[in-house]
Amino acid sequence: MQYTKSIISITARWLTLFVAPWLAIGTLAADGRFAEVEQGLDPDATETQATARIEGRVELLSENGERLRDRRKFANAVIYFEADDPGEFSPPEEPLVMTTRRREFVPRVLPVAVGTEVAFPNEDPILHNVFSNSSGNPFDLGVYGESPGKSHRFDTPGLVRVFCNVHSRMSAHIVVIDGPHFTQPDRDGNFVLEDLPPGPGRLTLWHERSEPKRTRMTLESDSEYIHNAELELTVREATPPRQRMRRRGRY
Amino acid sequence: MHSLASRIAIVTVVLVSLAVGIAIGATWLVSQRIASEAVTDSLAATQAMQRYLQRSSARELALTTDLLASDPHDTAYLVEATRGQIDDDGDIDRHSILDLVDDRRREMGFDFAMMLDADGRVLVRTDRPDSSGQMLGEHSMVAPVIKDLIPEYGPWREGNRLFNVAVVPLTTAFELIGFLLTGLAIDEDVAADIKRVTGVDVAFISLDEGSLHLGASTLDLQRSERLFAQLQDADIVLERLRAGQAVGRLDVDLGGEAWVARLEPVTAPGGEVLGAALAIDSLDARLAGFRTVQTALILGGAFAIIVAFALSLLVARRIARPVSQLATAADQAAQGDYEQSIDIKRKDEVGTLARAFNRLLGDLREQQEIAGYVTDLSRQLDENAGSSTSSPSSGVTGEVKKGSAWVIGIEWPGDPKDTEAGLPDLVRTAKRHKASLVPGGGARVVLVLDTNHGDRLPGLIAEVLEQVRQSGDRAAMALSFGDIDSTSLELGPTRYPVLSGKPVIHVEALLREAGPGHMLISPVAHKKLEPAVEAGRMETTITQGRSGNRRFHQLTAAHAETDAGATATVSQAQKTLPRQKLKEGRVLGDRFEIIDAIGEGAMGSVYRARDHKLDDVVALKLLKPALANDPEYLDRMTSEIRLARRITHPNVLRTHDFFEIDGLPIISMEYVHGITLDQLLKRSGRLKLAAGLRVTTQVLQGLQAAHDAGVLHRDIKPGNIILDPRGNARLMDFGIARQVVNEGKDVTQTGAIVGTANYMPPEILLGEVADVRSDIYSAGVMMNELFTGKLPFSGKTSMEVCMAHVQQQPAAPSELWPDIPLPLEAIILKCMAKEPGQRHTSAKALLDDLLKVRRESV
Repeated sequence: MQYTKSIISITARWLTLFVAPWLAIGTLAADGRFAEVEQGLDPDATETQATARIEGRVELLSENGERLRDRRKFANAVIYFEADDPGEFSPPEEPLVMTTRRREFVPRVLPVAVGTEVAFPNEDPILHNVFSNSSGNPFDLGVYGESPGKSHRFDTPGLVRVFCNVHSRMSAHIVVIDGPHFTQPDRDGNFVLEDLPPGPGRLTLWHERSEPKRTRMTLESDSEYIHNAELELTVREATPPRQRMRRRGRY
Repeated sequence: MHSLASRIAIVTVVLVSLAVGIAIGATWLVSQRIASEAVTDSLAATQAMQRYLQRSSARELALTTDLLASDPHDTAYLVEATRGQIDDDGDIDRHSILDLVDDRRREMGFDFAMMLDADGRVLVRTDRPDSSGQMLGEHSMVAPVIKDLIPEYGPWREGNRLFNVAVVPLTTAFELIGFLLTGLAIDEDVAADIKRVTGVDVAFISLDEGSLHLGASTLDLQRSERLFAQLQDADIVLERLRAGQAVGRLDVDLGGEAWVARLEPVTAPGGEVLGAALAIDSLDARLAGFRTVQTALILGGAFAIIVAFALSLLVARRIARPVSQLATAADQAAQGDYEQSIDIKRKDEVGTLARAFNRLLGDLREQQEIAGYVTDLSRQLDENAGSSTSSPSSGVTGEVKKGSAWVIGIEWPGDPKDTEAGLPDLVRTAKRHKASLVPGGGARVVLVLDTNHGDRLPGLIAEVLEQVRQSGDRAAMALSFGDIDSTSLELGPTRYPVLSGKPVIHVEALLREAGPGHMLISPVAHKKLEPAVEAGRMETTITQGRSGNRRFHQLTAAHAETDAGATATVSQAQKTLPRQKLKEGRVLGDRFEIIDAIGEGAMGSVYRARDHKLDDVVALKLLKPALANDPEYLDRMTSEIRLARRITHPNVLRTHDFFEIDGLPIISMEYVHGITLDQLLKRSGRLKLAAGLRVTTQVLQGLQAAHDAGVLHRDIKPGNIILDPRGNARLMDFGIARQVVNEGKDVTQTGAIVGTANYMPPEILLGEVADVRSDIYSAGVMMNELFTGKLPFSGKTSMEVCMAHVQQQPAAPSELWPDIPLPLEAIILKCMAKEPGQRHTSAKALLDDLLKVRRESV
């Protein structure tokens, strides 16, 4: 019996030595595979490598037609491509995060793929609430204090306007996109959309204060497209005025 | 009415009315002004309050709306409804927006609410649910909010109504969704609130280019309509309002009531006048308080006037009645009636006046009585003198003759009083010389002397000249001779004698030419007088007439012969028939010209003479030869006269001097026309109380003056009291009677005792020394005689009388005159006390007692 025990233990040790790394790698590979998906790469595409690419620059204009200088504004823009045939894609496993911090939603604009779960932790020492009345994705997470909070899965594409019940000055946008192909411009307004599936679809440029600018495109495989556009921010920015109430009115 | 009472009353009423009137007028004016100012102030305050309340209300509206706009759920709702989904190209969901907005409107109680888009265009409005699209971005209320996103609030006109409106931005964290506009109507509730706070009525009108509309008002319907009507007519007011100016004061009439309005324009932010806010106050209501005061003043004033009138009438009567009494009495007294007495017992000036008046009346009564006695007596004496039947007291009508006569005319120029003054003397003169007196009319008197009595002419002329001279030499005289005729004229009850004839005409002509004091004679008369002139009885000369044209004969002097047939006249002191030693016309010592003899006294004869040196009439007493030859007597006389001369008193006959002229011892004294008291008593028996008191007081005053000079009278008796024509008593024959042997009733003992026995005090009779009180005794006896008419002691011989003085008690005066006042009787008896120590100590003491009696009897 001494030999059986030693054979089993040697086999176990040997399996562990050899199989575990493969398991690990496999896991990793699987992760990697998800990561690839996260990056918007269709697994099928990995295999075929038949994708398009759109890059460009977006210009933000004020109502008067003047270019906006404030670069931070670009952070509130989203550019996405929705193919007519969306195909299969899986949302990321980890939820995205929109935090309530210093009485603001951070980030103020969050593009997500449909099916993504978004967590709403509260980093403020005070109570906050997160809700939305937007059609398709209404939710109300209740009121909670500093905590990881709750999350919500957005299953319908569209614009979700997020508010805090308690604070009237808190609002944010979640753009739920039907597909994984979305990006936000950098500080100069440049953007890149890669691994786009060939075929017809719609490219949308959107800013929180603008009307969406939609362009229908049919992508050829292995094509690169340059798309520059101007977005007119038609909605007036409401900076809180220094004075809350006019002192004397008209009397 | 001119009475004192009515005048005082009227003046008082006028003064009080004036005061009341001024008070009322002043309060009325002042109150009007105060009320008006109060109204203006209250209106201004009200409008300030109005503005404040409106601002507060609008601000409140803005705050509420802002709160509403901040609601996250509503914001979420509205932003979804406005901006929709990203894929929507569709319309804005107006319906939902309207629903929410209206819901909130109802909740908050706004009257309307709108939602505007970010440019200011109306998305929904609750007052016009079906309309939208109206652009309000340029509106003066909306534009600033669009610009700075700060809520605005203020007045707003929608249609014809005024609102308070708030415009509030709707935002999320970063984006402007649009604007919320809410409005609250300025309605009756608002107006009522303002009125509750300010107490003044308010109204609102909306004003646009063309027309005026009445909005909320706290006045009732009628008044509001009237106010509105007047506003519509007040173009100036509307102009000012449209120009954005307030109208400080507008007087309006609301159904007869006076109200005052103040208007302030309600302006939109851009300056557009939307309407006006009015504050209206009732002037009458403000004046009400003052009206009460005024009414009270008027009533009080009327009452005061009435009371003042009544009181002043009362007081005035109180003053005026006695004054009118005094006035009536004075008036009657002026006409000669002194018989009244004023019964006023008051302590003020009127009382003093009344008492003084009574005393005055008393004096006048006494005088009247005495004068009555004097004239009475003189009349009767005249009758005794056997004159004609004419009455000298009237002195006018005379017997008129026919035939040849001397006519003397005397005319006084100027004052008829001169005529009257000279009349009594003329009457006597006429009587004496058997001439008749005829009034010549006016200031002229005519004497007619029958030729049968022509021998009286010199005497008559002399006296006439004398009298004229004495009365100031102002009268003109004329003398004529001829045949005269006379009738009498009856005019009603009076008979007027009328004289006619050549002499009358001559006299008239001559009087015209005669100067004052001159007697002109007619040629006929002159011829007739030639023998007299030659005899030295008359003196004539030629003189110029007054007209200066002609020359006339003037009679300058006439000397009357002594007339054995002449009787004693009124002006003489009548004792016994004078034994003449001095002739009329005789001049003594180149100074005294004897006019006539007056009487016979104890010491000698008394004459009336003219003192040519002093040009005055004096009395000269020629001493009896027996006395004149006694040098010792003369010495005593000199020293006595020296003392007597010192007495100067209205009630003492003045002794002037003692001469020896032409070998004759003469005493010169004051000459007084009058009668002695004993003459008076002989005629009238006794004097009435007032007269008696008057005489006695005067005598005693004179006596006191003598005593003060150190002279005793020693012979006080009625015969030594002379009463002048005015009835004033004068004491005469002082002390000179001492050691003089007298005839008649006098005690015929040489040596000590002198004086009339009837009046001699006991102590003298007993041989003691005389003093002041002896005179008092004699005065007492005299008083007895005066008031009772009889001497207290009588007897057949002087011896009996003397014994009675010493031993008997005098009969009480009240037995002879029951009505004698008791104090007077007491005084008389005290004077006649046997012991000098029991009598009054001085004439003054006696006088004081008498004056008391006199005061009480008046």
